[in-house]
Amino acid sequence: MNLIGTLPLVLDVKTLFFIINKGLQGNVCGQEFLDIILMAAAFDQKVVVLFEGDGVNALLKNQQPECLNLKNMMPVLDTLPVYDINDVIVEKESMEVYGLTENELAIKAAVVSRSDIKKRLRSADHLFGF
Amino acid sequence: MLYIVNKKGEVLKDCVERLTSHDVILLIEDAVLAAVKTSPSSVISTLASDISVYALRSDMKARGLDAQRCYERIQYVDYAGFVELVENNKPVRSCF
Amino acid sequence: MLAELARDEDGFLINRNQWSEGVAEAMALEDGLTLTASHWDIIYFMQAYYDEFNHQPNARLFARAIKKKLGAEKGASIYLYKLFPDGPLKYANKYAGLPIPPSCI
Repeated sequence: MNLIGTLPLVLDVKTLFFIINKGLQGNVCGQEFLDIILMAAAFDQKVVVLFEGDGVNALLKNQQPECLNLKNMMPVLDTLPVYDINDVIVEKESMEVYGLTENELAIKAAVVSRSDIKKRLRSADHLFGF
Repeated sequence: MLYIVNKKGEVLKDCVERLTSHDVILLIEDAVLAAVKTSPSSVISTLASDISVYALRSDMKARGLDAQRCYERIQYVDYAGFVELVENNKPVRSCF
Repeated sequence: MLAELARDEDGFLINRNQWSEGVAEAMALEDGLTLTASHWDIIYFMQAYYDEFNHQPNARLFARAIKKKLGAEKGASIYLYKLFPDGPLKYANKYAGLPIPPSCI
């Protein structure tokens, strides 16, 4: 059997949603999750990053995790455009819960309502959380 | 859309707040406790009637939980049923 | 020249302040490599990326980032391996005076 002939030569492009709904500093999972996001983009998948719930706080400016000898994730978030990840969205309702405004966010992100996010989630191929 | 939840409390609450018509929720691991009627702050009773709620049978059994103590609306699945839910309700969101 | 520099067991500079183009050339020569303009493109890129993002990518991301900045040709694995036969990510970082990337063992 010609196995080579049955293998796809190019990976199917899928829409992958990566949902950050908790702080990135709590454990090593946050850091690993960001690595997965970058890798998915490096494999030419369509990547969407969604911040909601407690996760909206991961976008705050002036985070200083170095004071606890923790890695600062902001530089990694800054690299998203390098890997052509430009579809970054934040849930409007969660922003309101924490009283945040768009100009308090450290990276460029679109503020989208919960119901519009739901529509987008439904059309995604896979949803990832951590 | 299928939501798989493995903890009650805030994790379950965050998930329930985002449910919309005809979504399906599957309780696994410690979240099966939310199926019990007397469970404190269980949000299951607040769900709209068009939301289907499932619980994983083996997680119930492992915790000695009896369907008689649970909300009548809960449906029970084994692992094969779990796979079927995933197949029939894409995409799947894991709330951990 | 190299003898006076503090370096780790893989020959990476401990202190980037001691880096100069001369040091990079000497480290490369020690590994049997003569740096050309093509090598410098990658080395300078590495330094600029590190300074901007304070982050070291793994090999695949590294190639991807180069492709975006310097063009598809230079981001190709085969091109990078021709320049740095023992491992583009590791050796580009080494000659750039940066720490050994966490993904390199």
